[in-house]
Formats: sequence, structure tokens, C-alpha cells
Amino acid sequence: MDIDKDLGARIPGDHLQPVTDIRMEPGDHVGDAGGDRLLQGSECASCGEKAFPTRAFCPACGGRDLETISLPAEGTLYSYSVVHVSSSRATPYAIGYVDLANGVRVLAGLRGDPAQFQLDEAVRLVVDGNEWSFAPVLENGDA
Amino acid sequence: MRNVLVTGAAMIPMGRYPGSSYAGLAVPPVLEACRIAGIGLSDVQALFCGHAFGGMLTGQRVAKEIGIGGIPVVNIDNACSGGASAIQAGYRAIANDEAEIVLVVGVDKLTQFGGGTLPLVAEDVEVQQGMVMPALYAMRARRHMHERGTTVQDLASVSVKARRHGALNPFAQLQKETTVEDVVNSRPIADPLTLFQCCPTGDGAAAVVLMSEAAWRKSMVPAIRILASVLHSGSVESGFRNMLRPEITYESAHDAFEAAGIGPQDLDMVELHDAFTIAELVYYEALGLCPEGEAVAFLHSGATTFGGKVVVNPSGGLLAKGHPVGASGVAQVVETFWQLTRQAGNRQVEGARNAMTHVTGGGIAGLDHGACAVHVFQAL
Repeated sequence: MDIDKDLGARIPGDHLQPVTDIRMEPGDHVGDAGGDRLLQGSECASCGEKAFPTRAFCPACGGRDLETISLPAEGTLYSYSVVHVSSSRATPYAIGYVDLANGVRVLAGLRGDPAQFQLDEAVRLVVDGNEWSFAPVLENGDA
Repeated sequence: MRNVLVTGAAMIPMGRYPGSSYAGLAVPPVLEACRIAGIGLSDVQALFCGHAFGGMLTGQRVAKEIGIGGIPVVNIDNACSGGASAIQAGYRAIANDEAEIVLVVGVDKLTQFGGGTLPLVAEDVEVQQGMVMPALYAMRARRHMHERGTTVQDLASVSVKARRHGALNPFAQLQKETTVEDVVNSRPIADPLTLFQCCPTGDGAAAVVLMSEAAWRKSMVPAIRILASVLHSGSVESGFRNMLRPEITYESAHDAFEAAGIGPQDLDMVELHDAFTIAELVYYEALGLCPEGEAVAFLHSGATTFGGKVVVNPSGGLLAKGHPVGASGVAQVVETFWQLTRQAGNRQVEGARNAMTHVTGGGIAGLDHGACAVHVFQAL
């Protein structure tokens, strides 16, 4: 097998620089897409895996050839909980797993009356400034 | 691979000890486990210490208090699986002929956080959305209710059983029995989970001595044999994970049964990871104790309490005994040691010969759990 005599002596390339991947603000996950503001995720050019949030490495194949995509605003509610204990935020608050139309699951804050949260029913993304959450789609189509 | 035996085991009563250091919690069971195993502290050839929140050099902070030094001391964090992961490390050291006598310690002190939910890693995307461990299990519970028609009373029945077992265990943090009504009416934590459906916050420490069969033959103290020691990490899923079918536990249990050469029908008792009520129902099926879809009926049949087919959490489990994270995996083995050596007193599982311990470690996005350790034991 060939060896690279300069492997440990060459100036490290981009592929060896640490990835800036910390996104602590909710707004970091939202992007503009043709006038809409949608959640951003990644799609792997090598294997097609889609994931939330955007990332530098594919969680299915380890590839680095990832494209940022906008995620569907609609999904169904897989499960949820209203949380009554927290040392870091006001309670109660609701979170739930939303299964998006393109096969990606997102843990999201839920807004609205918990009495209207129904498993396997439609929910829709609501972006409010830098905040985002999902809300049940009501019979009149509103979220 | 050589045979590995557990020859000594001890723990402190789990509870709230704000005045104790990590060493203050762990040294008493270390000394007792060595005494039970009939060894001196200088006989210990390696020490593996499982913990999640002890900080730097937790194992050495315990060891130096009693003059243990000059040997490999390795600290292992695997969240709630830290203690069981330390047992696996000790098992491998002996099975692979690297040591004859190993000490394993599990210790954690949750009162240092002053109550509330377990602190998770802040850089995790789901934690930023408000994920806490009770919410994760609550979502499992709600899905179970949705798909299976499980009721809150069914969930509460898990706590009632755990607390009934814990009432027989002087090492349990909660030793008072409870009722379905009291469980349902306790304060809400993460709907549909109420306070009494969540393991209590507390401190604890447990220790076991592991030996090669050759080392044990010099003393022949009461001992049990490790038939299998399996540790898995979780597999990431960006899509639609089935929360009622945790792949990490299914696969770990499968590998453990294969290595042990016995099946779920051969188990007389199991100590499993009942951090929240729903977990016990999900794990009945994942460990193969009952067919898929039958967990609730299995619980109500009495199969998993004393006199039943396979006694689950005779110690009271995490729900009653307490769950000081890194200590739990070792404490499960302490209970198993007592049971399989017929030293469990009024909570003895009659005729117990084969046992399993199961502990997971969770709290990061994309995985069911980050770690899962499953051990199988047999009486000698």
C-alpha cells in the first residue's frame, strides 16, 4: 500500500478543521424558501438520507456531501407531552415529535390547547419571528 | 473466555445524603463487598468505576481513601449505564485473562443538583427544544396508550408493584406501599406521567467483586456466575422511530441470550430499567418475557411479582429502590447476588437460578438510548 510521506507535515486542509455546528438559538433552524420561512435540514448527496437539523456529516453513511434543504411545513403528531417540571424554562410547556411528509422526525414545541393535540393528526409549522413551533391544523384549515 | 464470578456485593441504602462526598457514599460498600468476597484491599488488581456526574477521577477519589493505589483505575460514564458498563469492563478483564480479582464501583450523587430533572447536554438539539427525560418516557407512554389502549391506571400498576417490592427492601429509597389512586393523583411531571411514576432523585453507591474461577476456588465463598455481558450503543434514526420497539434493548437482550445459552423462559428474575412506569411495560416485550402486545396483561396476571413466572425488580426497581444514575447498574447486580445466593430474606425469589439485569442510558437526540447493558447470571 502507498504511503503519503507528508501526511503529518502538510498544512491541515478544510476537511480537518472543526465544524461550527452549535446552534443554540431557535432561529438558527429557520430559513427563507420562496417567500416562506421553513425549517432547514440536510440531504445527503451520496445516500439520500434526510435529517433535521442541518449538519456537516450524514448520520446514515458518514458522508460530508450534504445539501441544505427546506423541510415540509406539514406533518403528523407522533406523540407529545405537557411538561410540568423544568429548571430552565417556564412551565407548563408542550413538546412533541412531528413526523414530516418527507420522512424526517422533528422534536418541536407545540402551541395551542393541549386538548386539541391528537396523535396521528395533522400539525403545521408556525414561525413567529425567530421562534418556531407546530400547531394542530383545525377543521377550517388554520394552524 | 474464562468463567467470571461475582463473589462479593454490597450497597448503601439509597437516599438523600447531601453531606456525603462521592467517596463517602462509595467506600462503605467497597469495604463490605471485599469482606463478603473474603479478600483484602491489596488483592484488588483493577478498579472500574461507573458514574455520570462524579467529575474527574471519581474512582481514584474513592480508592485513595482506603489505600488502594498502583493499579489501573478506570472511570466510565455511560449515563445510567455507567455502572453496568464498569461491570462489563471488569468482566472482560477477567474473561480475557488480564486480571484475577477486580473491584467494580457504581456511584452517583443527584442531590448535588438540588432536585428537578436530570441535567442533559445543553448542545443537544432536542434538549434545546425542552426535552427532559420524563418527557421522553411520557411520549412513549402516550404512544402506548394510543396504539394499545393502555390506561393511566395500567401505568400506575407498575409503580404499585414496584413499591410493594420496595417495601420489603431495607436498601430502597421508598419503602412505603402505594395505590393506583395515589399514583394517578400524585402531581403531574410530564403528562401522562405523575410523580409516583418517576424514579426518585437520590444518592447511592454499590460495589461488587469479580473473580476468575481459579481465584474463587481458594475461598469458595457464596458466588454467582456471569453467563453473558453485553453492551450496545444506540443506532441513530432521523426518521420515524417506533418508540414502543426500542431496538437497542431488543438487540442487546438477543445477544445476551445467545451468549448465555438460555432463553427468556429460563429466567427466574429480572432487574430492569424501570426509570418510569412505561419503561417496564415496553421492556417486558423487548426482553422477550412476554409476546409483543401483551405487556399490560402480563403485568396484571401477576407473572412479574413474587410467586409469578419471572419476578421483575424484586428489589423494587428504580421506581422504589431509587436511581442514582451511575450506581444503578451495579446495585442491580447486588440484588441479583443476594437472590441467587439465597440471601434476600423476606423478598427471596423462590428457587431463583437464572437472572438478568438490564439498564439503558439515554438523553440524546436521534437514539432510543445511548447505551444499553444486559447481563445474565446463574446460581452456582
